[in-house]
Amino acid sequence: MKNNWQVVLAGEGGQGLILAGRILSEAAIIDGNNVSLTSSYGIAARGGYSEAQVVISEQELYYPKCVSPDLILALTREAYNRYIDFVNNDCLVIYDSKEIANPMGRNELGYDFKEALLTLGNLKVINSLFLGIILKNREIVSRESMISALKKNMPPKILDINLEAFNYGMEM
Amino acid sequence: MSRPEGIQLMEGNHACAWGAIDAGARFFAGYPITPSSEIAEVCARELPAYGGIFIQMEDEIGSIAAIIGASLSGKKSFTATSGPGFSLMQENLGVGIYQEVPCVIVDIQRVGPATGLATQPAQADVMQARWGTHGDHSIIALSPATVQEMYYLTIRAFNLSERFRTPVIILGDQVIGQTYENIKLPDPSSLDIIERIKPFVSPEDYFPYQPDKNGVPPMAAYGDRHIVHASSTCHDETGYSNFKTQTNRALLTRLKDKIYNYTDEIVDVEHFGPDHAEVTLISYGASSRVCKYVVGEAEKEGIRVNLLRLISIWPFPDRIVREALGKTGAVVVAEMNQGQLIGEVNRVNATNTPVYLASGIDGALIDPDIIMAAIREALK
Repeated sequence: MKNNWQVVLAGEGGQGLILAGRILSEAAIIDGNNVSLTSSYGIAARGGYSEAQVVISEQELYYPKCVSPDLILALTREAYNRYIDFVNNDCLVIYDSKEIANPMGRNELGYDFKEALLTLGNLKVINSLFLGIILKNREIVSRESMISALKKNMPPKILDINLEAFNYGMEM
Repeated sequence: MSRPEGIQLMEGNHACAWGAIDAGARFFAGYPITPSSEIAEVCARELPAYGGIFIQMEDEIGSIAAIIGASLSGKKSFTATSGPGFSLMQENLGVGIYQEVPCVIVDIQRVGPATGLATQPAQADVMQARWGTHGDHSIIALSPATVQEMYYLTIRAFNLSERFRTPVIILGDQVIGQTYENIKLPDPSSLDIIERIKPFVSPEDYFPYQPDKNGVPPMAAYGDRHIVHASSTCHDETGYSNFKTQTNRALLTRLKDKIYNYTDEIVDVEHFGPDHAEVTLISYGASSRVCKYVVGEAEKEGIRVNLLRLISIWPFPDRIVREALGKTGAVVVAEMNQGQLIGEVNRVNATNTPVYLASGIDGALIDPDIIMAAIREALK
């Protein structure tokens, strides 16, 4: 199992990207790895470009940012455009097929997030949903660790629907 | 929330606040500012449970005034800010130095000048930390490069401030302050914590500014039986104003000597990479961890590069940097500014070793390519 990962979660403020980065990071720590989580955001609380970068390594982490991402999640056109020219051939790009109508890369998977969220009956669980989709496609952390990290970070009231969204993502 | 146990995902700013609490800090006064606000947040939430006090002040001038007062009253105290607030603190920083007040000022640097880029990193307050307050003075400043190091250096900052009776600055930056990494807080009872020396003479024989043999006066607190007076004008050993020029000469000399005579005790550096190299990187804080990455990248290209990482910046480690300059082909100073600490490197460059600047001013962690480009330039 590969233990060095560089993951970019990109979209807009309010999509829970930084919380998702935190959950992914904590899962990687449970798996016994070193982690660095950075986020980039503007001065607005909601809307506008937002991203979280997670670097996971067995070794001491020197450079805390993603130099050559292994996986990019792009939930908006802006997020997609920012990275698409820089991705290497091995990088998997997971994008929102409703937002990005004409993708250009080779190693890409489009998902209709809106439809999945409507099926789940909750538009706010997008981060748990995409964590499930990410884990289905790349075994970055163990499923058990991810569920532990989700349980730690989600308030009890909304834990069940988030676990449902995560499991739904794993099946998509 | 209580003290985090076990291996945690923690932000640098949170690690700073926990380091302060574990060092015995029981008073925080501050005015929240990005990218340092999380330090204030943790203090607001946690300090009362430790019997401590958190005050959100009207501004940063009040903040540093409050921590000086708290320290003179016997509490270990600190504040946290970023560039604009650090500028406002400069006058009272001098008061803290002149009145010999142990306290810690955390500056999580962002892009300036003025309001600059509030959410983005820089290391451009390095010379301000050294010379920002007016008048001749000494200063101690430390620069953490990881979240775990932020925790330990915060403890060390308090220890040095108590040991030397002087303000100590933590020069962090947005990258270290707001990056989350895995960290394990140690058992607090395992830590070496230094407390200020209390008077060992009777109250009648006590002069608040009569130095011990190492130049540091034992310190009573306001409200103790020993009477304390602190003045921001020139003062003699009684603490009261004294306008004789020879009094100020003696005071300035002692304030310098009490720190500079103990430079070796304060200086903290890390040597990284091969012993001998074609190019030596000199860096600190967030930039220095990029340098560690670059050492490995350069090795892949067959270039022997090593790193001298400055964990303490002020007092500047003259001897160590001079030695590093003397045994390398060229030096690249990597910093997130237009060239600040490079001036100090050049000052001690007795061997006329070529010195190049890798300057990152893009409001982001310095790009490894900038450092590699400087290395290639140095090898030409």
